[in-house]
Parts: sequence; structure tokens; C-alpha cells
Amino acid sequence: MEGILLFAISIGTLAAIYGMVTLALNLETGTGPLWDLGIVSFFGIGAYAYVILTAAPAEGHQHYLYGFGLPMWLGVIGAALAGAVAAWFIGLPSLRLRKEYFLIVTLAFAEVLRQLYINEDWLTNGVAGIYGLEQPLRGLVEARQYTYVLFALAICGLLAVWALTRMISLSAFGRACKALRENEALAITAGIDPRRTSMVLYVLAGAFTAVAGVFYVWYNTLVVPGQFSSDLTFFVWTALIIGGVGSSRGALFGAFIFILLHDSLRFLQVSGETAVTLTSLRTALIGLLLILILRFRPNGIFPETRVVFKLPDRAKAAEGAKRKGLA
Amino acid sequence: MINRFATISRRALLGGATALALGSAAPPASFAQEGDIKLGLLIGLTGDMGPWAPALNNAAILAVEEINAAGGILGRKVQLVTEDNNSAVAGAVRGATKLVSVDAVSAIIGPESDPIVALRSFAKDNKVPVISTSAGTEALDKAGGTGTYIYRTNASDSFLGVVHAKLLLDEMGQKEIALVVENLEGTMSGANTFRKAYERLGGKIVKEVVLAPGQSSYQAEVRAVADTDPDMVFLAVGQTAGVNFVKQAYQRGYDWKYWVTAELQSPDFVNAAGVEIVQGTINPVSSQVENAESWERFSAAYEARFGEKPEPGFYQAETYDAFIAVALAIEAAGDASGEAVDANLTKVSGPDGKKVISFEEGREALKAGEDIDYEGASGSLDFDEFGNVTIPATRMLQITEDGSWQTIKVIDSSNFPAN
Repeated sequence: MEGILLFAISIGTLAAIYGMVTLALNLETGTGPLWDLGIVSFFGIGAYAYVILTAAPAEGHQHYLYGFGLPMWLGVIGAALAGAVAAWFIGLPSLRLRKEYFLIVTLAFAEVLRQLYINEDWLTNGVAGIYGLEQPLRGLVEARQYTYVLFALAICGLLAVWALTRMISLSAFGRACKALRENEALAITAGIDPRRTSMVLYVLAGAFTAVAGVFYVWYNTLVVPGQFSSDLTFFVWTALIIGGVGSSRGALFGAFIFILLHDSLRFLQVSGETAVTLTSLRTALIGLLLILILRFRPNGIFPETRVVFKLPDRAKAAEGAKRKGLA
Repeated sequence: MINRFATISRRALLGGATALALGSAAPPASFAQEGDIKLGLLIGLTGDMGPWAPALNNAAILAVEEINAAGGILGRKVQLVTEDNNSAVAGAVRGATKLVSVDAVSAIIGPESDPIVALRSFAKDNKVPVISTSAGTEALDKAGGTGTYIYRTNASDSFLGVVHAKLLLDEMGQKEIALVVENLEGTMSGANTFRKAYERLGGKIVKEVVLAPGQSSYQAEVRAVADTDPDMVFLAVGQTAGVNFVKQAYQRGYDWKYWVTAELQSPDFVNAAGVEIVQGTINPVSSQVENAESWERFSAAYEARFGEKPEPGFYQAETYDAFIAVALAIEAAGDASGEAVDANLTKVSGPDGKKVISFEEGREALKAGEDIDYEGASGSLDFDEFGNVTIPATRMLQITEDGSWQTIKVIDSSNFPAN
């Protein structure tokens, strides 16, 4: 029984990491107007920035020049900053584009970045990757129990991202993003600057995703370019769509249910011989389930709900101002 | 690591589907009777390694069936638990966690380069040996061995680099060569180790050209190679790029001889490129020495069970050997824990002791109180202090006029330096 719990905890950790990315994507796509097909860019940038800042210098057969060996907390801050800066750079040209074109360009940028990880040997150690990376609070508990520690850390990270994205989407800034999403022309007449608002949103999402990338490094203890292909983007998008675009509950639920779907089918195995067939069927089964979910819940499992904002009462405010004037 | 294209036959799929339909009526593995010894196979059934994984699974099935037919380990039945690692790191971590936490396997066999590197501390923390049967990565050259819970039964890329270099220099008298490499983990690693060994042993690389994966035209790269007018070209590339490259060189009228890595050693490569273009191409694959009893025995058993011969270079023999060696280690220890396997794996695989080539033979010798040395189907399988093995022989395969790969020579490589 403890074994199944340990396995569930391990899956839960990964789901929490994906959950952070899904929440960040939800901030861009659900709250804001940005259809980002390149969310994996910042995931990768965060992971690589963290590794370069914290890894030990290269061994004889490795090629990377920089392993600064800095403390982990600096690595995390560095990763978030790198994600934000990368988002700003990518945003400069691509945020000038309309929805569909933005989508294509972000996808292209993600691929360009992956090629960079592959080809810039001196920075990333190329296709061989950088491995043997340390995990936080490792010495605190007995090695086998570490799964729980990493899970707790990932959940803390997830809660932090959840609280921050929620705060942002409920703020005046979040309302501006929603206005842009619904009707850009109307938003502009209301005095919202689309370029600036989108940029801030994009940079924030980039930073959150980059931090999720750090957790991914802790989970895997190594970093290779193959981890940052667009598969991850599509995975996160699918999770968000089945969960419900625009609702953070949906984003969280989507990430967990999607990972669970993938891994619960591992328990179906009967013998070594059926394993090959079962695995190929697994992908088909997941596809079928997704179709069914979208057939019966086209807006996701938890669709976006209306939020009622309590705005300051104008009449009262005016009255108050008048009284002050009289006094 | 290999990187080739292959197709799964329709019959295999149908057979599998039927097996699945029948199998789903049986109780799931997690409720198997207590007392079974479980061995895990963690391979990329989906993802990049997908086309090759079923062959490895077959080798594992064969090993486990043989062990059970011989009465099991320590009189207990052996159960194979196959897990997918999506050919990726995160998948390997999840798969390994499931194998250890839920199934409590005695050992995990099979992870490829990136996956096993990611499992290094996992293996030690959970006291479960992780044994790769196809990882060429240099990261394992000094990482494994007794006490680290990390092993591999295939040769390191560093060793293969030496093999390529020695064969080119000693057997072919080829002192100069142009090197064409595709930018993928497996091919880069292979080319790097080859370059190091070749230059150290006195060869000269006249030109090195890197192919970006997935391009349809390599005209510029062909021209770059042609500038140095080589008579032989070393190709460390995947199937698609390889076919494109040799075709485009041929169309421009270049008649180079090719020396290729394992990635191109398949009938598909010959069919796609055309016999007239690639005839005479040579590829060295690691193998057992010619007519080795252990290989012949394995090959016959595999063919009888699955209706096709195992291919040298496909890592089936390496996978089979890993299972048998683990089984013997458990038998020797009288204990199925991961710790017991780690402590005994190097011992039962030699080089000292009575030579045995099957599980049954080994168990009898152990019962008689003898030390044993398991001689594998893939090689002598003597783990060194770093959990690595050397390969006793290398088979030089050449593409003949009719387009098949034929063994032209088997060279004893047991005395080649390890890197």
C-alpha cells in the first residue's frame, strides 16, 4: 500500500509541475488574449538558466563552459528573471501580431530555442545534456522518503503560482486583460493599452513558467534538449482545454487528471507480453477519453464562471466629495 | 544509442490485440500471488525508441520463460513487469518509481542513455540495480559498478569509438577519412569518441561536417565533403539524413566508400538509398565471437519462440543476458533483494569461476558450491569495477551486390583498450 502511495506522490509531483505551467498558460489564454503555442520556451529557459547558475563545472568529457555552482535560491530567482527577459524579447516582435499569427510565431520561437539548446554546446552541453544535478533539502530525510519532500515543495510552488495568478486575474490589471480578450477595440476606447498590457502579461507568464522549469530539473536531476520539445506545449494546452479555459480550478484539475490518465493505465498490465500492445493502446485510449470529455463538456470540466467585482460606489463617492466641498 | 526506422508488422499488432483481449480477463499483475520474484523492464515503448523496444521485450520474455521452465529462481516463479519510459527522462523516473514502489522488482533492466543517467541516484536511494542494455553514453563510463547499483551490458560509445578507429586503421589501412555526423545525442556521442580514438591512434580526419536533422537537402554538406576529395566517408547519422546524404552525393557523381555506425545497419537503409549507391558500405557491430555456443543457443531459442532471428546490433542479446545475470545473482545470494543483486552481479558474471551459458547450468553449479562465470549471448559479460563490459568480437558487415548485409570478417576485439 505504501508503494502505491509513493508512486501516486511521484505522479502528483509531476502533475503539480505541469499544473504550474497550465496556470501560467491560463493566465495568458484564459484571462488574457494571448494564444501562446510556445509556452515550453520559458519552461526550457528556466530550466537551463537554473542549471547553468547552480551546476558544478564541467567534467573532462563535457563541453559546457559555465557551471557557476551558485546556491539554489539564487538559481530560482535567476530562472524567473531569465524567463521574464526571454518573454520580453520574444514579445517585442511577436506581440505586434494578431492571434493566429502570434500562435505561429511563438511555436517557431520554441523550436528555435530547442535548436539553440542542441547546438550551443558551450552553454548547454548540447544533446548530451547536463546531469547529476542536486535536489533541494536532500539531506533532510532518508533517501527513500525524499519523494515526499519534493512533492511538498512542488505543492508549495503550485500554491504560490495559483495564489499569484488568481490575484493577478482578479486585479484591475486582470480585468483589463479580460477586456482585451473579449473585445480589443472596446478595450482601447476604455483607455487600455493593448501592447503594454499584453507585454506585462506575457512577461509574468514567462517568469512563472520558468520557475516551473526549475522544479522539472529537480524532478529529473538532469537537463537535455529533448525535454523541451513542443510536445510539452500541446500537453499543457490539452490539460487546460479539458479542465476549462479561463478557470484556475479547471487548469489545475486538467493537469492532474491528464497525468493520472496517462499513468493509471500502467496498472492494467497483465504480463510482459501484453505490455507492448497495451502501451500503444494507451495513447489511443487517452485520445478517446479526451474526445468524450469535450463532447459532453465542450467548455471543459470546470468552465469559466462569472466573477462579480465590487466596484467603489460612484454615487456615494460623489456625495462624499460634495460634502467635503461644503465643509 | 541506435536511431533507425522500422515498422511493426500488422501480424504482430493483431497478435498483440488478441493477446490483450484474452489477457484482460485475467487478474491484473498487482494481485499476482505472493512469493513471485519480479524483474522490471523499463524501455521506450513509445517515443523515439518505439520501433526497437518490442525486440527487447521479446528478449526479456524469452529469458523469463527459460528461467521459469527451469523451475524459477530459488524455487520461486519469476514475473516480468514491462514499463514504458516514453523514451524520455520524466517517463523513466515515473516508470522506475512504479516498478520499485508498486511492483517491488529486484532489478530494473533496459533504460536507454538519458533515462539511466537520470536514474543514478534513484537506483542507489532505492537500493535497486538499474541495468542498461543499450546506453552508449560516456556518462556511464566511470559511474557504475558494485555499490552504485548502475550497470550496463552493452559496450560504451567510447569503446565503440576505439573499435571503429582500430578497424579502419588496422583492417582497412585507412589513414584518412571524412567524418559526417548528424546532430543527435547518439550519433554525436559516437562521432566524438571515434574522433578521439582515431586521431590518437594516428588517423587523420580530413574534414568534419555536421548535418542538421530533418533537412531534405544536404547539397552544401556534400560539397563541403567533396572539397577534400576523400576516398572514404565515415557516416554517423540517422536513417533519414543518411539516405538523403548518400543519394545526393551519388547524384553529384561522387563515388565514395562509406563506413557507417549502427544507425544505418538495416535493410531499410539499403532499400531506401538503392543498392547501386550503398553497395560495399561497411558497418562493424559488436557481437559474440564467431560460433560462440552462448550466442548460437540464444539465437536458436529466440528464433524458435518468435519466428525470427535476433539481429546483432539490436541489443536483444544484451537484454537477455542482463536478465539471466540478475537471476543468477539472486540464486547465488539466496535473496531476491536489490542489495543482494548488486552485491553478486559482478561475481556471477566472471571472469573467474566455472563458465556457464544458461540459467539452469549456472544454478546447478551454484548449488554444487562452485563459483560461476556467466558467458552471455552478447559477450563474456564480465563487469569491470565501473559496471561496464567489453565486447569480445566485432563483426564487419558489408552490403553485397544483392543488397543484403553480410559478415565479411569477425575480429577479436577483447584486447582493445576500453577508451
